[in-house]
Amino acid sequence: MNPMAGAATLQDALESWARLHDKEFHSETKTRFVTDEGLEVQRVYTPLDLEAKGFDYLRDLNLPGEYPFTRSITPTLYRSGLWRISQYSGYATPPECNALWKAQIQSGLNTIYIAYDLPTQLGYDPDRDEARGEVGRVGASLVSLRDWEVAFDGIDIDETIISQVLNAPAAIGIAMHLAYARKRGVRWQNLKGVMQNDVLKEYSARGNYIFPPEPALRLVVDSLAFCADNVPNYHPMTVCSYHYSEQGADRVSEIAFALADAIAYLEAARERGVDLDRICPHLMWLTSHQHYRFFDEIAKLRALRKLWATITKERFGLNNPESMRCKIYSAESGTSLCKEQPFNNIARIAIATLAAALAGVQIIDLRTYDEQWGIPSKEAELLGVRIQQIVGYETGIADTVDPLGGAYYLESLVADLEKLIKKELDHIDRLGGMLRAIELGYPQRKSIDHACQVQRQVEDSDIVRVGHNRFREREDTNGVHVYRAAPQVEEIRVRDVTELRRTRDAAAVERALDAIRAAAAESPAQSGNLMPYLIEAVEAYATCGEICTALRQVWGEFKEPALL
Amino acid sequence: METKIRVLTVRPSLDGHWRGLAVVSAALRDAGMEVIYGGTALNADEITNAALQEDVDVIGLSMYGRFGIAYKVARQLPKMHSNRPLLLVGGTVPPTEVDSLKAAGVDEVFSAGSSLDSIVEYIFAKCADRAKNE
Repeated sequence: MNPMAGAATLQDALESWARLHDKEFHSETKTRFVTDEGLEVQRVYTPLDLEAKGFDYLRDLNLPGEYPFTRSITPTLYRSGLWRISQYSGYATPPECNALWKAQIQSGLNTIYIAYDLPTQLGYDPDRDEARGEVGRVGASLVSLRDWEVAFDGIDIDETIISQVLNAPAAIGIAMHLAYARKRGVRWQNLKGVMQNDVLKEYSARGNYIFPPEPALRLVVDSLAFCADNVPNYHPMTVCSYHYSEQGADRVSEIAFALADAIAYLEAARERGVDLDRICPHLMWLTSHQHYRFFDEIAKLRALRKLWATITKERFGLNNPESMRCKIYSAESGTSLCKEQPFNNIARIAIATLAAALAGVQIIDLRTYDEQWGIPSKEAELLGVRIQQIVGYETGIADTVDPLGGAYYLESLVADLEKLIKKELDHIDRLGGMLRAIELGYPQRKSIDHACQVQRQVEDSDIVRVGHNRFREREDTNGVHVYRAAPQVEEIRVRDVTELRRTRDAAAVERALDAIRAAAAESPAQSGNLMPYLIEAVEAYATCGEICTALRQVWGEFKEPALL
Repeated sequence: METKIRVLTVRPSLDGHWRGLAVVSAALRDAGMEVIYGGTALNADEITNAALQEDVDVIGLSMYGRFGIAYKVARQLPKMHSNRPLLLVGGTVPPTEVDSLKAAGVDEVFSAGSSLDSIVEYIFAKCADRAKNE
């Protein structure tokens, strides 16, 4: 007789099933299966698990495009067009960037995602001592409107989304984009772009800050308010969880810290009297995704969407549904890839792409298989675009919205992560908010502690990395071609900037920089929005470094605190 | 009483990512060493002077580029004092750079993927050798 027969309820059936297979359960390879966040993973999930968590379909999940947007921010998602394919890239000089980006557009890419070199991100022109050895080393050296004129020559800037990673000087990068559009005769209303303008995480996770937090927040609020009024299709802020994850934070901390940063931005804007329902529709989120613990990654991004909707609606009392929609730009985690047997990474990248797509994100950006060896080669970048196209056009996952929605395991994970993230947010509130928490070194320490734990687990093979701690082969690089910036690029860029200074109207530049200094020295209530001053300076061909120097003279610099 | 091995850890670049250096620093501290976390330092003189002032046994540089600084520190060290600290480099170091760094006087390079244990063991072994030879 089948012992399962006659089970009246699912509960009865589960109990009989457990009795019947008890012996087989002993063959399991571990006594406990747990996630990185310490959540126990059960043998099997059923509707009973969701019931036990108080799961309510309409309240917790609802339909695509409906609050709290757990399933999707739009009702049709990829049925109305695939996610945007992005590839973070930038070579040293403006002409090299121009050739690279034209080749990418040729290959079917519809975004340009500018990776700047570190001197530009830190507001040092190529001829400064601080820049020596790093000009064009990890990205593009684009410091003036003249550089933009070369780098974007012949590129349709009203058709292409231009994303930039600048952070501390982000407002200047937006000014470059706007000034360049005006010069080309492209209306600001038609411009599409995304700016990584999340300065708070620079103090706590990424380390590329310039100014102290208070004036840095002023620039953020100015750029948000200015773009909301003048550049309706522009996203002047990506709030980043990505860098917390890369710094070592687990999924709960990653999402909680980013939400706490976003709360700090909204509070700063509200204090300045900015209508939050005007700026929130222009926020994006830069998250991380990876192949490793695939379901946890999908659950994490769905939990973020739900929590952001709740925070905007309940904590800030916003009314505009556009403010509650969490638009996600997700970038694959570079630390999830291995140095050994680098071609294995192609499989990891493909699985990670699937995770982001199943999480229903708006833009996907990938790392490349040669990530652990250096700056990506052009071949590796093109392969990344192809991987996205294969996942998007060949698997069929774009045909229905949120194909995993309602899965017992996945929704259990979402509920558990949501609870833990809320708890972490409460803790940050008790510390006095994210600015105070960063001052105390809380997110920094928490991320590094987890990074240390992960490193131990990798070294003990508790976390398996194929080719690194298991299934190793003798030194095997499979012929990766490592990209190196040509040694003469620094000299070329120093010459470019010297030539620019010689040929522009020096008096106009000085006037514009003086105006910036004067406006920055006054309070926001006195001098208003700084964006028009920045645009004017850029139009006079002042460089990013010169504008940062002017602001440094007024605001000073942030000094690295002792963290250990 | 046995004196602790003293290590100066520094990031000589504009790159802000501190995960690698922080994790290695924590591991050295857990292994019983005294770690002086120098954070960002952009020139060789600053690093060499800090090593001299702090009288360290080991200098650890976390790098992805700007290798010129490592070469300069290596050149400066022998002139500094007789008991020259070990000079270690870690990070994303291209294979071709590894050989030239070592030829220039860097004692060891631990590129991405190196285990914490290998770094700790190397430092203990080298410092023990030196103590024997003193």
